[in-house]
Amino acid sequence: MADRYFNPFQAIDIHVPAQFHEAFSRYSQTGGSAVIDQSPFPRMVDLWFMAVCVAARLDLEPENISQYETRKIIDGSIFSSDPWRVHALMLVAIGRTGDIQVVSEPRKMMALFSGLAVAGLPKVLEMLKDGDAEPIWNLSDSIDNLLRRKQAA
Amino acid sequence: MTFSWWSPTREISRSPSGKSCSKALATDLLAPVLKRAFGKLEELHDQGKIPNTTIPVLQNRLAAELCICGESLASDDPGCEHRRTHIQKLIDDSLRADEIQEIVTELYFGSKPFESDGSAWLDDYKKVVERRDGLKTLRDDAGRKFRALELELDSLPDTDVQGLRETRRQYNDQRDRHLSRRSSIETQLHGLRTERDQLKGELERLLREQKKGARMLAELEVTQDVSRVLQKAYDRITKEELRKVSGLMNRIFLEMIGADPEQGAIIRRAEISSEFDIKVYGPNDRTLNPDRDLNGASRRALTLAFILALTKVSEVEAPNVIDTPLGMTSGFVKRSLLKTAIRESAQLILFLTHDEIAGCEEIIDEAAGTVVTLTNPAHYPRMLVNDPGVSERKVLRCGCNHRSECPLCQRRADSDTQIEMAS
Ligand SMILES: [Zn+2]
Ligand SMILES: [Zn+2]
Repeated sequence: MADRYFNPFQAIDIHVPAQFHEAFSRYSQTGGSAVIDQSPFPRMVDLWFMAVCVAARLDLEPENISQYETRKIIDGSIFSSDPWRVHALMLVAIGRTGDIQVVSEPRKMMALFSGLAVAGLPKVLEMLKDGDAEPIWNLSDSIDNLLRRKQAA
Repeated sequence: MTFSWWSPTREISRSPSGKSCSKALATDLLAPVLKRAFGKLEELHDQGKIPNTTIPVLQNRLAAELCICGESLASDDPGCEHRRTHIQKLIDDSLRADEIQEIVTELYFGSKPFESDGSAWLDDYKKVVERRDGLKTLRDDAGRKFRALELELDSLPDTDVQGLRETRRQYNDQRDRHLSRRSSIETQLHGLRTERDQLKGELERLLREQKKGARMLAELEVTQDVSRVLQKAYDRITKEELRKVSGLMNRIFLEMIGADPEQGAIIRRAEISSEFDIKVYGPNDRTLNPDRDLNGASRRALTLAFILALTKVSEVEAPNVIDTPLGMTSGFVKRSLLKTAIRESAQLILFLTHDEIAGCEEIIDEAAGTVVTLTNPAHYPRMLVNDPGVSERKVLRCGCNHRSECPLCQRRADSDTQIEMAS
């Protein structure tokens, strides 16, 4: 599988609204603190992916990113090092659109992910602050609750 | 304490199942949406639009020329041609899939790991939280101990902790120095032990030597004692005894030759030198040469005087046996010589010829205990009157003395070789 793997988002940059830029810096170790307790995400893409996952989990409607002033934070080539993320994202695209054909349209998929990220980011930031412990524990406990709540439902 | 659930690269983030926690978390979070996506993919698969993984298997079979069912697929066998063609067509149809089919195919097989039961991430997180709480308990305990120690430290009255630290540092330094010194002393000790062992060996060797030396020393002492005794004896001989012999010899010698005016005029005294040479001196202590300056009688007298003196001084009670001592002597000297010899001997045995006896008959009459005559039968008929009648060469004895004769010893008037023995 490895030699057949390709990254459809190779040429697409990832943008987020400027208002979140400070949060990306603070909670990723490449941008802010090297202490994992304070900055749980190794790279900015990890926070972005987390936001997409949370939005998908909560069935949030994607925000329209075109109404924001955005900044590029991540190069699409970053997914080349994580094949499973490409798979996960494409599955999210299929699951959300109900259309298999979407896999041949990387820009359309990325637009969906960006909208989901913008919808999920406030939730993730909320989870990071929700509690009296360090951000990583606040976030972990919130995710723990989230998973249990939906499983029970 | 930390754990990472996003980074697929962190070791700590690996769950027991081998999947990264971040992947596990994504799987858990996305479970509902993934379920919908998998539904779509399954639909496609059921329609046969997703080729399966049997393509490589079929290709392998073609290459091996043996079908999975066991039938031959040999390329040179026309009977198998239809089977090969059928399998090749299956492969070709699959390979002709369009782009979407290819992507979806990869997605279908590549996303299998996302299909999981339960929540791997929740399990992992539970373990991590348990570990965190355990560590937190430990940390709290440590914190309490630390605070207790701080209180204890505060309660120490007027203790100069800094000073104590300094003292401890000094003691530590001292200890290090002592340790280092001990190590060097141990090294020295080792060297000294080795040396001691060597010296022990040397000592034993020397003790043996000393024993040997003591033995040799004892032997040397004995030898020296013996040597001293011998030296003393020698000294006595060379000093006292020699002087005694020398003096006695001189007296006897002068007495023997005293009657000879000619010799008396040139001979003053005789002595034995410390080199044991017999020396004769004339007037003014002139040394005389016995061979040249002394006549036969004087030489004979000197010899007899030495023997008699030596015998006398040695105090050995033994007979003096002298063969023809009076040859080449005559008259008063002969008689003096004989008388002196008789006087100075414990027992005197003389072998005398008739010529020697001549003129000394009275002295023999007076001094001799036993006189016998020895006759050599070989002298017949030149000197003997009668034939002794013996063929073997042996001396014949008869009881005749210096004044008598018998048919055995009767001699012709002019002969002088008959020997008589007087003692
Ligand atoms: Zn077959
Ligand atoms: Zn006779």
